[in-house]
Amino acid sequence: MTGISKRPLRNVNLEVSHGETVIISGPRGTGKHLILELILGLQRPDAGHIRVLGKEIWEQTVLERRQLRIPVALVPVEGPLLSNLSVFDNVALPLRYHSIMQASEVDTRVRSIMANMRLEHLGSRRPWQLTVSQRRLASLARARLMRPQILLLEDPYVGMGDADSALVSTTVADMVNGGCATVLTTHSTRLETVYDGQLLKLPNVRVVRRGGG
Amino acid sequence: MWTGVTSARSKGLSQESTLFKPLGRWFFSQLRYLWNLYKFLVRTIVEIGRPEGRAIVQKTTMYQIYFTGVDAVWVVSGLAVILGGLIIWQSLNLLAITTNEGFLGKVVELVVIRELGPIMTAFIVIGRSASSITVELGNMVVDREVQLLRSMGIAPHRYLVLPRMLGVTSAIFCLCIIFDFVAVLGGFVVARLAISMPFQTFLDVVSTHLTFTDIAVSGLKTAVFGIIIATVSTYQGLSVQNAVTEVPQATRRCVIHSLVMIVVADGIITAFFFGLAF
Repeated sequence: MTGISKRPLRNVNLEVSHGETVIISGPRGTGKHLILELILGLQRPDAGHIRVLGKEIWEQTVLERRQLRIPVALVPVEGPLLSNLSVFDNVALPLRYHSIMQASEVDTRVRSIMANMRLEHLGSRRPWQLTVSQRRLASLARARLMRPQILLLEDPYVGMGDADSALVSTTVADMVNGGCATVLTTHSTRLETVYDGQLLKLPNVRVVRRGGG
Repeated sequence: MWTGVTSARSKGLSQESTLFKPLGRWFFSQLRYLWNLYKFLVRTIVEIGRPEGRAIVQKTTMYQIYFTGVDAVWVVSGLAVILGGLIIWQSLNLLAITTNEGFLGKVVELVVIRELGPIMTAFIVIGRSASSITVELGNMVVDREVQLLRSMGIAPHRYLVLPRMLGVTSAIFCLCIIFDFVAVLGGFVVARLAISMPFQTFLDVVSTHLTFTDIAVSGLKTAVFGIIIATVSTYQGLSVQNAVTEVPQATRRCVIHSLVMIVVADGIITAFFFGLAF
């Protein structure tokens, strides 16, 4: 994104390459979440250009913009899962909706990825029956299943225990090593201490600090 | 002197403007609202032809039919049998004056099939389903679930609105048929108890007056009502912005606007097809 302005952002420039992790840190209200929404084309900037996977996002039609979001996975801090679906269906939703593969193959892959994320016993449960970290892991499982080219993570370690934090780091590192461009936002300004160094274990990290950070 | 005339005239004008300005603003805001509803409906209809998530949309449509239609059968039937019975009862009192049995058939045709069936079914669906749809979608917006769907390249109009529109419209159509049937049955029970009218006579009286147009227009009304209810309820649900406190306000708007629009649509359709002809 170049020259992006939309309150509270002013003339923001950011470029993320494949296989790179960019950490945007800063206090609440500095527009970190807005940057993720801008990358997804969910918000239109007042000024500036956003290119996602080589395409100017606001020059695309509504349908093209929708298609452009498929290889971009968001793991949000709020509402990471749909409350009216089981955890299994939540993880499988984008694959099923976009008919990316056969139904039987979807089920096999969802089971496999849920086992990797230590969620295999939670498939039939509803999101409200899960802990915060389990919900976050399920959301990350869904993102990983889509094999995205861009991964957007919002405060991924908040409310997580050591084991789950390590699992998040391993999963994200695998995806980054596979060529995924990753943007991670965090309200923490002391990355190395608050997240027990997990952020620094991510490969090819670049830190961008916003407002007071 | 001229000044005095001018000031009196301007005073009169200002009184008029204080009356008409808010009225004009209200009128144009209503027009804008209707235009937004129309655009919302068109955006949903366009999604019918899209290939993505067909199986998911079909499954959600079935759930909506079950929730709006199957779950409401007992309520609709109960209300239909009571209302059908009451209408025939009141008509029998008039029948004593007119001594014309055909009058009963006319009442069933005019009151039950043409008006009561579609409108009562719509009222029940507004109370049971439309309000629930608005609450559900409103909460999804507040919980950022709609945003999540959009981030996955899933259009809320296709995933959330379309199945509800198809489900509510199909369900209300079926419920109206059930209402008409049960109301006529309720009417027969009362006629049988009150004047020992044989079933065959009752059937003859009703079927003589009932035309294909009556049934077709009743079907058209339910389809229009279904689309209105689904559009208003989903529009209001998705119009919630940030706070949970907006959800009850959106629900209130959904119920009131649906009721008003249905009554107006009913009047327009009735006037268009039947005019003043009896």
